[in-house]
Amino acid sequence: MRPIVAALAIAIGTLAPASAMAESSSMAVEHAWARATPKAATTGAAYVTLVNNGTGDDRLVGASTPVAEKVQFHSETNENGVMKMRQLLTLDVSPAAPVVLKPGGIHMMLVGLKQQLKEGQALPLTLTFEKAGSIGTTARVGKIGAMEDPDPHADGGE
Amino acid sequence: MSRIEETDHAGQGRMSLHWPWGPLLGGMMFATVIASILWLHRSQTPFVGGPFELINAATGRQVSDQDFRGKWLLVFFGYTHCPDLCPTTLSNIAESITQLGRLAARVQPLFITVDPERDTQQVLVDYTGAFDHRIVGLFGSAGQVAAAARAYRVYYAKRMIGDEYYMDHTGTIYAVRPDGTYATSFLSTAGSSEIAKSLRQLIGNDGK
Amino acid sequence: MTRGMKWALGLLLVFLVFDAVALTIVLRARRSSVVALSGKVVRSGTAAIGGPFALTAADGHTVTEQTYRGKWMVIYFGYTFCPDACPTALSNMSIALQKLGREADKIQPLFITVDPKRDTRQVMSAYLESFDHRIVGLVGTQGQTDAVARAYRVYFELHKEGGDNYLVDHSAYFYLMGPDGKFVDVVEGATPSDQMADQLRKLIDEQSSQD
Repeated sequence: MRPIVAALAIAIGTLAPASAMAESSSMAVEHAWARATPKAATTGAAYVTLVNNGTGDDRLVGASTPVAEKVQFHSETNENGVMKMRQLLTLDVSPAAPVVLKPGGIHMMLVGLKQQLKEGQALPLTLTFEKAGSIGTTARVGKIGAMEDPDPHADGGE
Repeated sequence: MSRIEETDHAGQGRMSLHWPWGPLLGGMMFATVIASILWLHRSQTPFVGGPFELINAATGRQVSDQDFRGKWLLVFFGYTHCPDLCPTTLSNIAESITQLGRLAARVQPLFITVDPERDTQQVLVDYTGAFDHRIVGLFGSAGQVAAAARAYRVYYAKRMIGDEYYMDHTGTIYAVRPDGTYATSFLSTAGSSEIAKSLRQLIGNDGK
Repeated sequence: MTRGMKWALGLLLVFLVFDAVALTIVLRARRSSVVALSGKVVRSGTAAIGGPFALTAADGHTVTEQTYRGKWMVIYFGYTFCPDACPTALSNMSIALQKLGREADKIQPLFITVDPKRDTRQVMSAYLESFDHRIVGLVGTQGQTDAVARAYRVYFELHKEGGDNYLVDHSAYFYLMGPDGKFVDVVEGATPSDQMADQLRKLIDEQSSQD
C-alpha cells in the first residue's frame, strides 16, 4: 500500500498550492482611445492596452459600443508590401505582458458606424473577458491619423 | 550504448528497488494534470462577494452585506455619468425583475457607485429610480467603495477625457444567495430574459 | 516480480492513461484561439510599374495616366472600409503635403479605391473631405480597377468570408511616378509624415537634378 500513499501524498502536496492560486484574473484597461473617422466611413478603429494583473491567462472574447453595429478584432501585417487584415475571434491576455492594440498592429474595428467619430469625443466601449467578465471603458477620440492615445498621461488611479 | 549503461546503473542503484518510482512519477504527472485542469477552470468557481459597509441612498443609513441576508442580491457596480454600459445594464436588471413577477419580492438589486465623488445620495436615488424604484443605490467613502469593489473583484479606474472624467469599471452583474454566498454572474451582454430565467431557476432550486 | 512491483506497474499504467486523456483535454482547451482567415501570399514585383489607366474622379471627370503629366503622381491604393492602414497613410500624406509647402505644388496625390463596389464616387468624395483636399479620389469599374492594379503591380484580394463586411488586402505603399509618368520609388504608407515629406522632397530633388 505504501506506493499509493506516497503517490497520494505527492498529489495532494502539489494540489494544495495550485488550488490556492485558483482565482479569477484581474484585468486593467489602459489607454482606451479611438481615431476620428472620415465622413462617409462605415468603419472606425479603437485601441486599448490590456494589463492582466492576475495570476492566470485570460482572454478578450468580445467588445461592443453603442456607436457601431459590431466590434471585431483584427490583426494587421505588412507581408511583402501587402497590408493584410485578418479577423481574430479572441485575444489572449497573459499576465506575462500587456497586450497593446495600436495602429498597424492589432486593432478593434468598429463595423457599421452609426455616427462619425470626432476628435475630443468620448466613445463608450464594453469589453468582455472570459474570466474578468465585462469591463466598461470610455475611449478618447483622437485625430483621424493619430498613432497613439491623444492623452497618454491622463489615466488616474481609483 | 549509453542507454544500456544507464540501465545497468539504475539496476545497481540503491533506491531503485525500494522506491516506488512508477506511482511517484505517475502521481506527479497526475497532480500536474489536475492542477492544470483546476487552473484552466478556475474562472468557473470565482471567490466573489464578501463583506461591505456602504450607505443606502434611499435611507441615508449605513448598511452592510448582513442587512441583505435572506434576499437574493443582484449586485452591479457603476456610476451615474456612465454613458452606455450602466444604463443598458440597469434597464436589463429592471426588466428582468419585472419579468420575475411575484418572485421579484425575493430579489434585491443593488447599484454600487464607483464614483462617490459625484454620485451623492440624491443623485443616486434619482438615477436608480429612473430605472426601477426597487433598485437600491449604495455609496460610501472612497475607502468603503474600494473595499466593496475588492470583495467583488471589481476593477475600476478613473479616465480623463478633456475636462470630464469617466470611470472604467467591471460591468458584470453578480447574483448572491440569501446566505451571502456567490451564486452566479451575468456578463453585460446578458439580456433581461436570460437574467430572469437564471434567477427563476436558482430561486426554484433553493426549495423554499 | 514482487507484489509491490505489480502494484507499482499497475498504478503507473492507470496514471499514464489518465494523463494522456487529461493532457488531450488540456491541450485542446489551450489551443491557440487566434483564428486567422486564410489568405494567399503574393509577391509583387517592382519591374515596369505603371502604365495607362482610365478612372473617374469624384467630380465625374475621367482621369488617365496622361491627365497629370508634368506632375509627380503619388498614388495610394486602398478602400474606405479600411479602418486602420488607409487613414494612417492618407493622414500621413496630408500632413506631409502641408510640410512640403510650395514643393507640394509639383505633386498630385491620388487615392484609388480597390473596392469599387462599396466605394462610389459620393463615398470617396465625402471620405476625402477629412484629408488634404489636394488628394484626388479615383474610382473605376471592376474591370478598370483590375487593369490599373495590374499596371501598378498592386496586389489586392477580397476576402468575402465576412459577408458585406469583407476585408481587402492591399498594397502598403504610395507609388511615386515622375513627371514623365515613369515609376520612381515607393514610400510606405505608415511612414511618419515628417519622414514622408523628407523622402518625397529628396526623391523629387534627385530626379530633377538629373534632368
